[in-house]
Amino acid sequence: MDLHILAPIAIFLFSFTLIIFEVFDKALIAMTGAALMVALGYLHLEDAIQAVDFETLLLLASMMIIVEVIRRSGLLSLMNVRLAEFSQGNPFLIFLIFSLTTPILAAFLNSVTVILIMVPLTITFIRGIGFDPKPFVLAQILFVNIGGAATLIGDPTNTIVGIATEMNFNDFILNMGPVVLAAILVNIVLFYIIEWKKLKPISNDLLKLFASHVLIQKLKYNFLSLNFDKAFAVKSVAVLGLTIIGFFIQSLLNIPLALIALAGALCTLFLQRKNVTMHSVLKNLEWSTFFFFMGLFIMVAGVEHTGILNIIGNFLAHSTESLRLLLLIILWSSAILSMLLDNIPFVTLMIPVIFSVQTQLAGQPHTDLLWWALLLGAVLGGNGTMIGATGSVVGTDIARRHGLAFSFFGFLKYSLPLTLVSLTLSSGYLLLRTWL
Amino acid sequence: MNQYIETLSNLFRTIEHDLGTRDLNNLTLQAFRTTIRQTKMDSLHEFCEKFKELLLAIKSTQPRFAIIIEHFYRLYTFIFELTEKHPDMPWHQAKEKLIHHISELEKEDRREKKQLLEQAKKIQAEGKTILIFDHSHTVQDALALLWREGQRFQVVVAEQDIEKTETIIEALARNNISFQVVPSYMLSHVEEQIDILFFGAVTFKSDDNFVMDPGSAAIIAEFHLHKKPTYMFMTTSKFALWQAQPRHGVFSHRHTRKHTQKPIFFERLKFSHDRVPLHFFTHIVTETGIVSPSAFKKIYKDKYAERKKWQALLVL
Repeated sequence: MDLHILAPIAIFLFSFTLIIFEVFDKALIAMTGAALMVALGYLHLEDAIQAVDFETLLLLASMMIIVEVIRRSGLLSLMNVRLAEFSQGNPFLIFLIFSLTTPILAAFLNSVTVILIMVPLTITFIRGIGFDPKPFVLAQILFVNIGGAATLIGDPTNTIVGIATEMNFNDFILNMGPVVLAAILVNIVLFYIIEWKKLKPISNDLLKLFASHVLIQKLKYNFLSLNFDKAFAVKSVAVLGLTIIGFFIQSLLNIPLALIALAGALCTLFLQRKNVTMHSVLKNLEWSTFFFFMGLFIMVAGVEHTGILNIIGNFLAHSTESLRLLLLIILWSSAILSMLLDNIPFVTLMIPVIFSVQTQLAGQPHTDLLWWALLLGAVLGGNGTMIGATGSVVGTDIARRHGLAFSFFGFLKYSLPLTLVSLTLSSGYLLLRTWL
Repeated sequence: MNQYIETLSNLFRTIEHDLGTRDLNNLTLQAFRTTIRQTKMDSLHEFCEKFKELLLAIKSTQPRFAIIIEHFYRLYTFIFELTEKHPDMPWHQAKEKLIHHISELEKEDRREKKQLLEQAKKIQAEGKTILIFDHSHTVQDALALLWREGQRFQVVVAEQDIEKTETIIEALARNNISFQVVPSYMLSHVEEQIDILFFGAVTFKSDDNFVMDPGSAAIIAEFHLHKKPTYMFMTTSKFALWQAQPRHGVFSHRHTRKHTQKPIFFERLKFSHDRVPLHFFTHIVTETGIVSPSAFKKIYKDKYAERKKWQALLVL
């Protein structure tokens, strides 16, 4: 093989390894890999710039702005207090409410923001009333990742695929929603069975019930002292609501998703100009994530130029004549890889591969299921280990900072069996879809 | 049980630190009312047995919060009388009576505080400079009342933990009371300027010490040397009606802190409260009047004797 093929692949694989082991900041690694590809002449600068999917970046940035303004409105704190109040100190209700709220929020905000807000509160709340917060936090981490799989904006991998394939918001809800919902419900039931001792009702345990209510009162009091601005919160949620409605009717509006999100972000910044400054909001955006994506897009373009991804696509398409088997191969292989690796570079790399497979299988029905197999595998599979999904990495890190350490195997003991259940459900779902 | 006591201790400690003792008590009573609403019991007798466990846990928290113990004793007396008079009362009926009684306790508590503030009106603060330090809501309310009554004075806030100092500042600003803030360790520079000192406390113990915000002891001792009139504001429901423990019973928090700029780690100790002798104060403002330390001690002794009688009766 000639150097023009080998070198970009080597740069990509080397960068990929450094990203997996987090040797340096992953944005720095991705940008360095991208710069090397351009500097060594394997990719023209114009091609590199073209490779950056600015629509994805704009969509992510706009959603981050909307979420940041909502976070500042204190609405999420209010929601937490109300949820705690509603739970009445009952461990199962607390578990149920928090476990259901987390994936819903993750589907429309983003997993990291949801984790950043929910995990510290859950630990404080559950530990405060004298329970072990581990099962509650673990469930939240797993559910945040599952919930994020349901929408185009819930997980970065979904956004990247959604924009690349021009699928709309409704396509994601309709195709990913049913299996995500089933996975959440099955996981809740399994959690309840496994952790029955910790989740059973306490209505006849005066001591525990009293401690729960003291803590709920404290949360209420703390919240009241925050000077919650109702108008601020209402306006912020209204903008988010309108943006999501915009996503739902995108095909009617015929406007790119990123533009709808940008309109929402600008609208919220205009409406809240007295409460938040553009400068302070922009300061809190995850800039390193954008640079990571840019580097990644460029590196994948470099590898794509070598033609290797077409070869892999060809190989996959011809590895079996059965689409069903191919779907299962993609689902489970992307799940296993996502358990061990960062799923974002993997999915980004797989986009041209899946396009190539689709081209090879042109004319066959249900080839769109390949995308759902890839995403279900990547997002749900990421839940298999503590390092597989961004939500898990951030969630366990926050938990550790709050004195709740998860060991790799301690996490795996719960996450792997539950993930296997979710993946089995996904397999059944994909196979069922091929028959419909 | 031990884990539960630890949980409760942590909760009480953090709430008291954030809100003060009286609000901690109010919050505890509100929480207990909701607890009763949701608790499922077969009989009043079963509830009574479980309440005994709860009272025992509340009595065992570290530190012990006298005002909460006092209110839960009052509740227990009520439950005890209820079980004596109506042993067969169905739980749902007893529940309603208990909820009503909690509301009565809350009203009584508000009445007590109102009476204390009425007594505070007698203080001549006109033209004086008053030093305050702790985040006692009673002291803040007394200052606000005196100001509303037309007395004009200057307040000096001895600075401590930023959260607590800010709570005090907010209260003074809300009531348009003029004030200055001086770091606690620089108070020696304003000794001459200070006329009187106002303090609140968590409790008063059988060893004649008030339990107060950490840092209070040094300030009070310093101004005691200069014979400055020092007022304590406290209702008698805050009395610790049990035998005081030796000094090592004070709760401390040990943690490691890093130098802000250099990689130096050091051990840091924080204490939850100070103990300040009764004789360091010149006046104690209670709901029954402004009394001298010796008169205050007598009130305490009478209440303690009464509590001992209760305890014998309730067979806890």
